[in-house]
Amino acid sequence: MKPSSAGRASGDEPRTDRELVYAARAGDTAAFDALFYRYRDGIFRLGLAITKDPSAADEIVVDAFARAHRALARLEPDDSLRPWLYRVAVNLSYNRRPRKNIVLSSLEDAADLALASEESPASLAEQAELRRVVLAAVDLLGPKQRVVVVLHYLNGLNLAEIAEVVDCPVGTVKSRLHYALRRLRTHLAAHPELGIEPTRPLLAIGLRTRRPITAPVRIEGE
Amino acid sequence: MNLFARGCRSWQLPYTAAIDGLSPRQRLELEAHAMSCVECADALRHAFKVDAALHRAFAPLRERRAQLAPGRVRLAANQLPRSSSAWLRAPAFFARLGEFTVAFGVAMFAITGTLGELNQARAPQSPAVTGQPPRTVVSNEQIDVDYLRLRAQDERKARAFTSRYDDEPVEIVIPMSPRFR
Repeated sequence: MKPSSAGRASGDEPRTDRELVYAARAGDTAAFDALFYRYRDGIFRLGLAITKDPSAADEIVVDAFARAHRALARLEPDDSLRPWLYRVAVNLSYNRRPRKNIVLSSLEDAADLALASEESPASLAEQAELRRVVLAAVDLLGPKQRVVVVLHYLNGLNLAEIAEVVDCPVGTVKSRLHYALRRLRTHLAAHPELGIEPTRPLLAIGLRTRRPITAPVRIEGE
Repeated sequence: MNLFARGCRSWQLPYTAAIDGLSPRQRLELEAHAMSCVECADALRHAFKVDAALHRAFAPLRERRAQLAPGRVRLAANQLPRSSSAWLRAPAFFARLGEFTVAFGVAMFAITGTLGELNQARAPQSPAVTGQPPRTVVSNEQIDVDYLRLRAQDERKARAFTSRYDDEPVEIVIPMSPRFR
């Protein structure tokens, strides 16, 4: 069965998660398959980022959907099943200990990247090294901060969705991300090639006195 | 001079701005504030650098895809269709029955073995096992050597040891030759 056609109704309109859940509850296996294809990759990436083990990430995908299948009778998604599935996946991921000395990006991926890219091998190697440094710094974060970083930067969830997944207020998610970025800045400051400086001490910034800045500071993305 | 003061009250906003956690109005206010606050300008600049580094680091992972089919989920959820024919289910039934019988036999063997050992420990040991001679019921003082008969016991004591059909004390009389009379 094609994943593209499974989640579509007769009017070529993609069916919502709620509709698919009700159809699967009534015995429509195609509806459950559509849910599977819709969220399979996201859960796989989440499991991979936390466990660093592709086979463990596969098991997490299977376990998460098996639980969803068993819980079909009592699932009542308002709009999207994603927060529920991701919450299950986060719990399953943390139940599996990450194995050490396993590289996140496999050799096949590196080879594909090199073939697809126009950049020189030296440049690609440098980028891979920088990625490794940043991911190693993410690993140094605490579990609560790490999971919000992964959900935001890898799975692309916004703050409200993350709050639903980790079951806490949006303000708490903001706070965790704030402290995570501050800690990452401290860790990454040890690598000058990233151009990140450590947080300045009080005396270094003039005892926090306000001084006028000549050049305006623009917020990116506007 | 207060060296340990927290400093600028907007200290958390630059990092929140980097994760799109501010409203447009708050972003404009922060931008205006950063023009006069060294600390917030520095935090804002580096927050966006860390944000960009994280986006770059997670980019290859975002391309990873799972190579899984929904059949594995059904397998895990035990949702495979069961065969409807009783003949096809028979081997599995007898295999399960055999497993159960073996398990039951092993359990019974263990239980009876344990109970047997307990009973053996509780039962009196035979003289052959203990190595002591069997005790005689009648002691030497009770035997009248002259007449080779048992002495009459105290009636109360004897009654205590006799049954209802054996009221009188036991007397063993051995006929002697007339020469000794």
